[in-house]
Amino acid sequence: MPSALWKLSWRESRLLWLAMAILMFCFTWIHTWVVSQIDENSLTSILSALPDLLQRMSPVTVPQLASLMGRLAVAFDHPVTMFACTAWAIARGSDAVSGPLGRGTMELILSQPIHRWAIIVVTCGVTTFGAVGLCLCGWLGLCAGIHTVPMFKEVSPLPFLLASMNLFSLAFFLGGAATLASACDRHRWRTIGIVCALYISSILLKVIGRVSKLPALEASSFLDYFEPQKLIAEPALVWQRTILYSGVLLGMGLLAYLTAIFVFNRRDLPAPL
Amino acid sequence: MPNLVETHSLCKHYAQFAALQDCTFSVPQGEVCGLLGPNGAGKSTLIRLLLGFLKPTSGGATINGLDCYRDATAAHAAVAYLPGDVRLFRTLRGREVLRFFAKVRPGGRLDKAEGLCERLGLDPGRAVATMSTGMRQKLALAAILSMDTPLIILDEPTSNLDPTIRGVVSAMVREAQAAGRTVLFSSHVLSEVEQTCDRVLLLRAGRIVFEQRIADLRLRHRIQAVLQGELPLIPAAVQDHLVQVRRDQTTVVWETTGELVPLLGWLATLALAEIQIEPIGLQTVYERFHSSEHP
Repeated sequence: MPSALWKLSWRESRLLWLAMAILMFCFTWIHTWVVSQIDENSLTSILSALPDLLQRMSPVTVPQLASLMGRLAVAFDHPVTMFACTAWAIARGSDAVSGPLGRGTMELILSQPIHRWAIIVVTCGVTTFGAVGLCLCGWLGLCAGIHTVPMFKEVSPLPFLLASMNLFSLAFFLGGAATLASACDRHRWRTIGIVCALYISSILLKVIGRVSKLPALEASSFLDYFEPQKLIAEPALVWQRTILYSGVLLGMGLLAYLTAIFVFNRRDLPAPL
Repeated sequence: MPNLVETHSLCKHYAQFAALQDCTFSVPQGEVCGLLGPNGAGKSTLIRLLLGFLKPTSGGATINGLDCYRDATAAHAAVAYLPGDVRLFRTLRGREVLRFFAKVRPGGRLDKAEGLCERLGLDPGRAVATMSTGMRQKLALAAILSMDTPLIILDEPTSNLDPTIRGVVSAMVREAQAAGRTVLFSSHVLSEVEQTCDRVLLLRAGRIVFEQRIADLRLRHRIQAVLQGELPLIPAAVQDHLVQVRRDQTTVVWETTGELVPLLGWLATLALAEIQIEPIGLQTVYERFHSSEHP
């Protein structure tokens, strides 16, 4: 597989990655400082006063959420970190096939002695390494926060690595789903729309399933396997859950990438519009 | 010379629409073969089938003996392709684009590509995003023509270039041919095809409707004569060299099938009020197949 293809893919994605990496690192660091400013008892009182409907939206109990570790774990399913990782995964995945097809650069690349599967593998590689980097940046930001805020001197950042891995698994799956949609499509904007619709519908399924106490509905969402707060709140089940959550998300992501290779190898490449 | 490109009854259908039908031709090594036809005639479909971008509905094509669809990657090692509508990587500079193409295939040469840029009057230091359409076309030409492949496929290579640079490109194509390379040259510019190509294939509604060597075409002439009386019987020796295209009460139009010389003696014996002899040229052939009256 030509190194030039890897370099080109990285070159086209590096600015986005850098922006998201800075966002992840700074946000988790700032989040740690914000957590240090909140009193656990006051937060428990506020959360306990919320209606039952709203409390059910939390993946963990109020005491677990209000605890120091619980509050820190929120960083990994906070909308900001989820935005950074999903934006990266969807942006890169959607650029695998439909992006260069629409831009007209795909036929230049594929007229070289390059296998079609190599295009998907390079996209998968850059998206995956990028997602690993982003999640590590998030974790390093948390580490920086823990080491700079005196009240966290007893807290170990290591358990949060598993929460970070859960976030990576989500990004891997979304990258695969976006790549698969891209391999079937010829318009990148439509690819992004399809994956965003899948993502939003999964959020709705999860929230509605949780609020209305319908576990089957919740389980039908891939986000049922994205629970970084649960990984931190219940240390006894941490490995069992890590294997389940990451296994399902990574497995589905891998299946999506393999299907994308299958589809892309067989499809006609239309002329650029 | 062995054939570098061969197609056998190649067809591509989209539902009921036939983009290419029963296309059989071959291009021997070292030939510059022109593809002519209006938009929608099937030129780009044919090229995309040769590059394995499309799966043939039936029939097949080979490049260097390799199946264009099943062995596409191996076949691409023998092909340098310039798309009709060149779009390059907008995040790169010109030199980085050249470096990409030099690295992406074995034996790629950046120095040769930079030399071609100089001949085309292009500064490869500029960012692609700031280049005009013509500049991007030159950059792509430099990248493609620097590849040492046995086959070059050029889809409308001069569409965005000024006349001077068109001449340079024609010279580059001739140099590639002199080096033993084969060129498939698709264009709308008839004069360019006539000057550059050894042979021309004319496509119409997805079919090859005409095939001619340019050297043979140059020998052919159109004779338009205004008669002063009745046209005498054409001698058998002359009949083989003439095709009557049109005739009314006073005017007759013939086309020669080969050289004009054997006919000059007979023409001199005719009682003519007027005679006009002109080379047929591609324009005439093209209009014959693509005029609005043609069925």
